[in-house]
Amino acid sequence: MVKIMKFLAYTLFFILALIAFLPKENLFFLLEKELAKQEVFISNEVIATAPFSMQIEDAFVSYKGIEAAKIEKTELLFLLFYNEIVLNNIELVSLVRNYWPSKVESVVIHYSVVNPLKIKTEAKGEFGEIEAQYLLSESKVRVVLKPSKLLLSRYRRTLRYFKKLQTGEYIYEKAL
Amino acid sequence: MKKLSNNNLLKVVIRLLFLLFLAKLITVVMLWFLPSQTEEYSESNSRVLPYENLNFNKMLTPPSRKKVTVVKATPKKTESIHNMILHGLYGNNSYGYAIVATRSRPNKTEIISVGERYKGYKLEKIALNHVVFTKNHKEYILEFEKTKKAKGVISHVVYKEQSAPQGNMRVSRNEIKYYERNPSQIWRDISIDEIRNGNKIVGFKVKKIRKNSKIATLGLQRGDIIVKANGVTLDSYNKAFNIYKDINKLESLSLVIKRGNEEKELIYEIH
Repeated sequence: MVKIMKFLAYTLFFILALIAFLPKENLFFLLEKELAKQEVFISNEVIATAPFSMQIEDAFVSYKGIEAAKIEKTELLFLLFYNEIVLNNIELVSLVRNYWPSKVESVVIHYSVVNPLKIKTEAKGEFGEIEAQYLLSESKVRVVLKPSKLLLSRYRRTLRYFKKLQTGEYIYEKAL
Repeated sequence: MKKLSNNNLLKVVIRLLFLLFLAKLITVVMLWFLPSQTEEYSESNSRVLPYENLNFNKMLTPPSRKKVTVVKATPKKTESIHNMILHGLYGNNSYGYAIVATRSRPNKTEIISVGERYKGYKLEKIALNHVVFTKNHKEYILEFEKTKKAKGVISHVVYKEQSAPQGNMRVSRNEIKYYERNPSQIWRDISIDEIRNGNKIVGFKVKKIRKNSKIATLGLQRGDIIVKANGVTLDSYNKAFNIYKDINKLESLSLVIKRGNEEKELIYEIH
């Protein structure tokens, strides 16, 4: 038993050391390279790294050459058992504004080994509030939207893609 | 007993140091394979439209009303240009543009704004039915061909493409506002898809135009490939959408399209 405990402790120490030493900036460059293949570009960002986290400031995101969003602050936390990405103050630009309110206050994406088959996301902004889940086992996205008055009054066309529930919430599900 | 305890502690420290070393070694090896540079969007003009032939400020905004004077019909010491064809013109005196082509390639038109050069000639002035070029301090007049009678010469857009499906190329600003208010209507009325040559976008193909829609009256046809807008080569979505975003601020819009094997130019006055 003591030996097993020792082994687990050493393993945990090794994994944490590995996470601390990880070249996070270069891993982010790898992510950018992969995204670039899908014509998604993250530009102008300022990156700061710490042993278990990374911070990206003032990133412009463009898709197929069209500016899509400006993200003021992104924080990534890697703790193996719990990983989190927090995006703050997102401003959607360009044509997106025609379909969705432009200011997004925050988006929090988290993954925990306690619930290994789900990636959860919460977002709030001018549009209202969103709770989304990506079910890894079914490869399915489920989005529950609590729309704001602004979304209900000016962006009703977009809501057509959602299914209205009796609670007043809107739901969107898609298998990927 | 004390010695034994110290030995155990030393063992633990050595193991931890070894694990740290191993972790560092793995990350150094990883670093070797990971990219060291960020991927930046490399389009040279992500924000500012690189107007190539057209300078709308110069063309459409008179520098000062006081300076507007009528161009005298035939200045002294002028000659005619015989190796060029004047297809159209817009503007007045020191602002505006001319649509010209060489006689050897009459279908390959170019839009030249006042102050720009074409085949060594500098466009100086726009008159009612001719334009004035200079070359080596000498003035040259280029007039509409008499056979065409220049029947389109009016105070607005006078360019009339020979094979344009309809003569009226004027677009109401209200129509643009209509599409601005109903962006989803655009994609109901027209379907456009990118055309690629390898990885590079070479234009946008009109896949469908809804009959009786406002867009259907603009002269575009199914199968047309839009390659340029206002002199900007449409080789990215960004360039196309920059034009789209600013369309309400424009006074006129020119589209270069490929229809079959021909390259055509459509010009719209937005009023």
